[in-house]
Amino acid sequence: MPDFDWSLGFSARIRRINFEQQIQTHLPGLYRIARGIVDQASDAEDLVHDTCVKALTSFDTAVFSSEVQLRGWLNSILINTYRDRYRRARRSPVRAIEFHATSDERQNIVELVPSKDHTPLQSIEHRDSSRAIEHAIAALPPEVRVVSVLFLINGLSYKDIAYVTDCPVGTVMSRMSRGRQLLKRYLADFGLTDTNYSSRASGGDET
Amino acid sequence: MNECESFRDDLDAFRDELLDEERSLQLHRHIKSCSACTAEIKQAEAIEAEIRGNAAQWQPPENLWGRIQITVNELESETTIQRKTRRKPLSWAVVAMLVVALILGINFNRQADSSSVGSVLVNEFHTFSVSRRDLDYVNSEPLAIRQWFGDKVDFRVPLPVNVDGLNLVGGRLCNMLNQRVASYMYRSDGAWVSLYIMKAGQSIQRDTNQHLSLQGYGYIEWENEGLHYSLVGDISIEQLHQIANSIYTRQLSSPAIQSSLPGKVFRQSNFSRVS
Repeated sequence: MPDFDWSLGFSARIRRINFEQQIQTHLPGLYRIARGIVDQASDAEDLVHDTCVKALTSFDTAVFSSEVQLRGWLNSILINTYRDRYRRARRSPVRAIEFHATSDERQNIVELVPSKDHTPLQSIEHRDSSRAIEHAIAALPPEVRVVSVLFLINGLSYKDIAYVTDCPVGTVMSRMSRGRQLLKRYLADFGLTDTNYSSRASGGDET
Repeated sequence: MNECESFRDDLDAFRDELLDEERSLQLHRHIKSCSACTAEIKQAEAIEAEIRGNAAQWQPPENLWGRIQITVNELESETTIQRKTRRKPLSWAVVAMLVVALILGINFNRQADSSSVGSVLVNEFHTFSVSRRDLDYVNSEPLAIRQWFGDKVDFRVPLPVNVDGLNLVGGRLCNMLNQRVASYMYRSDGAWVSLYIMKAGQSIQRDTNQHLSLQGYGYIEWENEGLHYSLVGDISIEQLHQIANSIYTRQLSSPAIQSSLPGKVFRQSNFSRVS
């Protein structure tokens, strides 16, 4: 008796093709999140690559009743992969990152460590707004950045973000609030003053 | 002013529609009469719209999905091989099928070759060439390029070599064949030449056929001191050999070198001219 089943193999193959197509449609969204939370485009590629590889190799156990569920699952994999990499990088002596948090802030190291490569002052030369925005986002503490990217860029609700990041909705809201404050402050540091944005908001952005 | 400050902390929650009805109504009334709070909200909305607009330009590279599939295929073929080695002995029927297939000359290795190092690198090079992507690091200084790769790959990259007629312009970090690959980028009369460097090992399946040259790119590979080098270029194979010679003569040992042209296979112990 051969130890394979032709009919099962065929249906599994069809399911696999559908699964691949579904994941592929989420590639732009995943890439935008990755690009928002890591500093380099190449690192974002790696992050999305590893996320999709993990998702595709979990094909046998992955069952979803909706696109929203699939998106949430993929986003969770991406965020967990990012956290794993971040923790690994922190453990590595080559990529050690200075930790500036006060003792009562140490309860959540990942949330509070400032970005290693970007500070508002170092990057002040990037006057044009898109570069300034990228640097401002990169300067956010990692977990605040994750929440800000998921909320502002990918338009996820607080509840969805809580699911993806595996933390309470209250924590998500406080991180988002902190993210908004910091973004505003960093963008002002980059020279994008209140008036720049007020004039855009009121339609006064003359070309 | 005091009233304004009491509302200001709730502006974000108001925008996110998280306030209860009563508080939301109070804030709504206040905003109507307060130009400072109105400006604050407009500014926040404008910043967030700018962030969204900026992020909309972030598109995944064209070759990303291809890379993902290559990795998944590699992982799955490894798993299949492991599973097959644990299987019970094949039945006579399957053995008979294999014998018939062999008699008919079916080349079972063809599938495996498609994911060998040369084809993966040539595909990556082709995608880079046609996509007009930026380099990850732009610099013509060999030392600066080596430093840039410093902690990005898990091996010590050699110092990029300057070659006559070829301009060193920077580097790219690639993720292929289950590892990070350093790529030194050169320009020659407007054409790209890429020197891919990765750790040599059993996981690298070397090319033994013309498959990798089908897209018309020249390809040469060799190994030295634990590293695998692959030179890919949109230039003639003769030019590529000269470049490989220049790079190679600066390396101390003399390993066997493989190269391939469309339709031909070359094995040679040095970089003699291909005819």
